[in-house]
Amino acid sequence: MVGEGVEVGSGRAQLLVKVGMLLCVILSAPLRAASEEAPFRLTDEERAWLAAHPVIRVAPDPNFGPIEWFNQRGDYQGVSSDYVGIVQRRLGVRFEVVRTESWNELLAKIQSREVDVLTAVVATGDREDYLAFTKPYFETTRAIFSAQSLQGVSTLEDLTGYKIAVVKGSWMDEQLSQRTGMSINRFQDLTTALIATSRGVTDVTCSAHETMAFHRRQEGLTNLRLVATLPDPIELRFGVRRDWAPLAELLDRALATVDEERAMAIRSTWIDVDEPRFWEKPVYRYSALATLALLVAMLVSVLSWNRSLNARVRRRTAQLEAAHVQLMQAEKLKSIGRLSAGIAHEVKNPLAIIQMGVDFLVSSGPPNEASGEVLSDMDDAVRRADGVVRGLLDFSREEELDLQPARLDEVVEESLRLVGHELRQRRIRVEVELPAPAPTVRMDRNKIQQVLINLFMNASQAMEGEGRLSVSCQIEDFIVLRVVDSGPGIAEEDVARLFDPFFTTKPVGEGTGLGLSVSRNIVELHGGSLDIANAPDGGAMVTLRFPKEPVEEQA
Amino acid sequence: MKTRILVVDDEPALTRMVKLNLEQSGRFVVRTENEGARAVQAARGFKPDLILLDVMMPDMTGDEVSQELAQDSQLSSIKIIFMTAIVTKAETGDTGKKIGGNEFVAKPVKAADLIATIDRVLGET
Repeated sequence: MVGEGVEVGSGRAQLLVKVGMLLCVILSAPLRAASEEAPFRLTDEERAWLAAHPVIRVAPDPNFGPIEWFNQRGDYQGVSSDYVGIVQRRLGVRFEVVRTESWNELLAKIQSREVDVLTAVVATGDREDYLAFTKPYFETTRAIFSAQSLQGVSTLEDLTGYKIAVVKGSWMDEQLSQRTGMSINRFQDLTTALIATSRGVTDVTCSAHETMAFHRRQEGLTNLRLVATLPDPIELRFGVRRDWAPLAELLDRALATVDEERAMAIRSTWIDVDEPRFWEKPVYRYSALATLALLVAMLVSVLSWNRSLNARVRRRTAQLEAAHVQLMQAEKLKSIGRLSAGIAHEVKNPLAIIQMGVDFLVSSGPPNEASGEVLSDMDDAVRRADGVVRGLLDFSREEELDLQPARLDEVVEESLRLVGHELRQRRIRVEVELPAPAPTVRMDRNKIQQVLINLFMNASQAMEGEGRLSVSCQIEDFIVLRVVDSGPGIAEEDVARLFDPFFTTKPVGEGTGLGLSVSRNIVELHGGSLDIANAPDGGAMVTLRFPKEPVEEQA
Repeated sequence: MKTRILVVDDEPALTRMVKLNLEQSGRFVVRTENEGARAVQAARGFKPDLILLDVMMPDMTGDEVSQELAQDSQLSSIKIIFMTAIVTKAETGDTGKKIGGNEFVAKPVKAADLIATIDRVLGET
């Protein structure tokens, strides 16, 4: 039992020794670092100078993180604080840290010697008047931040025309002030300058890249973006009041002991390796782009699908409307037909009475010349009225087609012969171009002749002076007969009304306005169609389509 | 000897006008009737060479009148020319169109055309 206990006890002792050794190793690291920063030997002069200046006031910029700033507890933080620590230890002195409100206040205080050392300052010509600089201990890049996506801004010169926010009295302020035409807005500190740009008061803020990124993060100004980093790094140094130049040399000696490894360590302590946020990483950007491209592709395909659907709907709607219009037209014609049969009787009897009355008076010899003219006018009026009623009657006759096979060339020739006198009188040249042998169409020959005569008369009346009337035929899916004139064509405003019963463009008394609607009706009763359009080289073109003869008819 | 024409139409003004025109030519003796039913009776008494007969009359149609005439052996040889308001010239044509062996004229017809048609119809015998 005892033996066992001893054994256990000796095991515990071994463990304790091991833990102790481990602790020693861990603790020795900072001890070693501290020993490296032990005071070095000062010359007598140096020691004397330090003795003569027991209080050295250092003043960091309160708003220049992560280089230097004060945290919420009021502690001096940042890169320069580490260097200040090293310098204190090397020189074996203790600095008094002075907290000011702004960089500008700081500049004022160093000039009035209320503070002795600036801990992070860029050497500029102006500042040499009142500052002695150490060698640089830190390098930073200048950058431009904005809430807008500024195109083509990569240098300070590109900022002409933009409102630029800078910290008042900063080296950036000095740099920009040397240029002309810059709109510089000076702010008390960097945070304020960044907020101004974030809210759109100013377009850009210019300062050190790291410091702007730091304060952007601190203030949550997420809309600010890096627009450009500027070439030529900026070097930060200690700046000692001019009359204390020996201190600058002392500081340099202390800083010279900081090797590169240590400098890197300090840098990485305070400065994020500027790890881009996940949305700033290329992987994210490319995948975002790919996603975007995919979305766009989907959107485009949905839109084009939508579009084709729309087009189909439009096409169908147009077809439906056309069918509806045709139906309306057919209904209109039918009701006109019914009506006209009724009124023809009632109108034609009085017309017959007037006609006979006029004929009687004419043959009994009118009493004077004026009466003769009156009778002649009445005779014309009766003929006109009769024409209208006759046109109307054609609607009521639509069912009575006497269909027989007829050769198209014969029908065309016969119709032309019937209007030959009119065409010759108007000096109209007629061109007929029919295939040989001409197709045969089942038709009511009289009715189709009536249609053709009507079209030829329309054409000849439309042509002023010498004209050309051409009749041609092509055999396609239908037998297509075209009647083209060299007149002025159809006015756009008339196109829709051409087939309206009683619509006419002819002078009063010359047309009933029924010819085309009756003609179309007749052709449609033949299973065909009649359309009017303007010919490519002007003039009106009437297209008649007849169904092809069934094969048995040709046999 | 003048040609005897019976004009039957329900429009008194029209029958009067036809009578005036035909008589003015000096070649016709004309009697008029304004009811279809009286046409056959008038034909028996007047013994016309030709009857101008309206197709649509309120009491009898021209067809009915012509059928009654045809049934009477004494009247069946009388020539008839129908006058109608609802036949177009395109259908009757320049030469007229015979339906049921009878000539048609479309109202309104010119007096000269009417006389020419009468002459043609009577000349055919």
